[in-house]
Amino acid sequence: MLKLKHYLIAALLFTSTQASSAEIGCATEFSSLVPEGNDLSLIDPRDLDDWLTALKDDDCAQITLDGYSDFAGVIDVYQPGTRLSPIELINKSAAVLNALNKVLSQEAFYGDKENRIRDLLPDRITLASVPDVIFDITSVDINGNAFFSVGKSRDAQIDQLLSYKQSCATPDSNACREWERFVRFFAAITFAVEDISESHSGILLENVKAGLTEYISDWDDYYENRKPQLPWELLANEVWNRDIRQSKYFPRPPKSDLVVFHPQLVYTRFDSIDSEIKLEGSILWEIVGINYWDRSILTGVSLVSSKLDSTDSMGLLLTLRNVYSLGVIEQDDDETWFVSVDLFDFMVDKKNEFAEKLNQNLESLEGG
Amino acid sequence: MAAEKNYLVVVHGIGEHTEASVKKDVKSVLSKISPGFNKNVETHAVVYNQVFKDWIATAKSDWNAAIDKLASTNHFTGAKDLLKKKLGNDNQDFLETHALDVALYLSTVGVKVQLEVALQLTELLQAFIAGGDTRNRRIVILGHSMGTAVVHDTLHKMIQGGFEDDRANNLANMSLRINSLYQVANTSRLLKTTIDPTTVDTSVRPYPGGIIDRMYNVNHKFDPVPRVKPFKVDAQRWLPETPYPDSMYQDIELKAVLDQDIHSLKHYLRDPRLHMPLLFELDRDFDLPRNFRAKQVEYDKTTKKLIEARLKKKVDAAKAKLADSARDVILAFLDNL
Repeated sequence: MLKLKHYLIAALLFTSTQASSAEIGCATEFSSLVPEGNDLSLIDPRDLDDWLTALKDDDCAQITLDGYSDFAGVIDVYQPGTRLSPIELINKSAAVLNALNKVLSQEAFYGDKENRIRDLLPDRITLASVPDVIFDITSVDINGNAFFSVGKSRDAQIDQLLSYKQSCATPDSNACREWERFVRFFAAITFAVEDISESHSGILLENVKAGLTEYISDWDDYYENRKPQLPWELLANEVWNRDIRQSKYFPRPPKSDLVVFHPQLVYTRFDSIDSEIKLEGSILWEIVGINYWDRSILTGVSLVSSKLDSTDSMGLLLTLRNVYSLGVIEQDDDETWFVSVDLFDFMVDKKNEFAEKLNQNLESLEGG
Repeated sequence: MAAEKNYLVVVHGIGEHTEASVKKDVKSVLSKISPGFNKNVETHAVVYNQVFKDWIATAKSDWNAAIDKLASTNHFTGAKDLLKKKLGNDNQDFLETHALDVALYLSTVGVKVQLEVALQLTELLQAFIAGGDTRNRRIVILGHSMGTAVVHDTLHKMIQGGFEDDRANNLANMSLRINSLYQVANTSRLLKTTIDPTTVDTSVRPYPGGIIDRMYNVNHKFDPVPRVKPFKVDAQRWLPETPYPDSMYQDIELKAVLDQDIHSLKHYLRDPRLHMPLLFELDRDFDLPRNFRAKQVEYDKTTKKLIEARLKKKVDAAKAKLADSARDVILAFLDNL
């Protein structure tokens, strides 16, 4: 992060420098773009941009730097169809710029400052120069692709660009010196872009990872807690929740699931005979219903029947916490209440637990 | 010189796969071809079998619980038998099949698979960045069979889709790019769960449409799996944003047949039409033959040689048999003299 700050401070310094008033054209020398002394960091990149544009102009041919013919290949990168265009790298550097622009256009990076930081890195400059600064183009071509050698240090990259100087017609010429200053300036910007975009990628990945972790845990909860589904219910829910399956983004788990022909074991009679509870069990079918797995207590409601083949005995079933059920059903013109076996067991457990606790408390009271 | 290695990330297809088994398959083939492979390339496997296994275990236990509940009560003996038959035995076989894996991937379970795969890919990208010098290193993703569909659907959501309640949380603006995507035995269109991977709507395309530099669509002429609904694009139309579509997207068709298992990843990797560009990209010590195109064409003839060899074997056997029976005839004739 320190690095990032560092660059941003440098960037702010750039913006505070006023552009030179003289018009930049073919005849302008690179050194005149440096406002004070030799500090290249004070060059206004917009001036640099104008300068490069001017150099590219046909009318400027007679003033083109001696060694510039070597550099021309770099500029040519703009022209589609150039045979050795390092496609991959142009795109890479374009992405770097893009990312940087995105970073810089976020409010957090320039607060209430003017929208000028972005202007510091004109596309043309970076786009034109990054490929040759960073990579060595190898001539090998497999399946029609350009490939590049890898593994250079930054110093080596600068040295390579500087080697263009040797092909200057007059090595001591002003043009060659300007070239070196330009390269060093340029490399500084390129590396800054590289570092900033790398940390930006890191931030994006961290955010995505946080999202994924949260959603995965949501889906785990869903699979763990949803009302158990039988094969035909799974199929029905694929239709019911098809939007989730086909979504173009990472979706949350379904909010609700259908219940279809789901058998329930229930106790329908609780006669107390001689202080013993007499239970009568039966099987009920949830014909159709819905269950919201993530709700706290009452999660679902279904239409129930004791027979699959008739509508004589219909009723209503409530699902509690995805597994327990209770409800009422009309049988022989009578309303019969029922609880599911697991709910009954649960209640008995709770009752025994309560009784035990009560006993303990009483004992401790008596003991006290 | 950067000490950090290049990354090859493999997303497997249908079947029993572990991280170790996938890595072993890839390494055993590629390190035999290029001895520097293990030194220069870090092979990673993204796995998702566990999602299916967990789901099946839950389903089984849910269904068995339903049966047991009925069985525990005397009142429901009739229903118990019916259910036991329906839910228990009938489904056991189906639960063990690969067809179920495909069906599950196409169901909502596929979402869980994509989430798990996305998490592994994200962590790998983080590790790659942590290794430093990302501009000079390479990261390549290789999907195989059903893995191609998983890679497509997952990457699309990571790059463009984002999350249900935070759509902007994606990698669209990430400057780090995946150097290449190899879709091997490409079923991404057949098994798509979201958008069609051959349209411009997908973000799993070469830059600037996506965050991949190059994409290779690798299929075998005789592999029936990717041919059901083939991945076919016109590069010019599919990549309208770039003036160089042909060098950023390529179809590679393999023809050589080594054995019956032409759909297997190993069979694909052995073919120089696939491993030459792959190794050339990843392994800086890989020695690309000067006449590599001729070698690829030569390798295509493996099938012919194989068939010729088999025919020769059959002919030889027939000749030997003939010779034997001729000898028998002569011997019989001599006996009768």
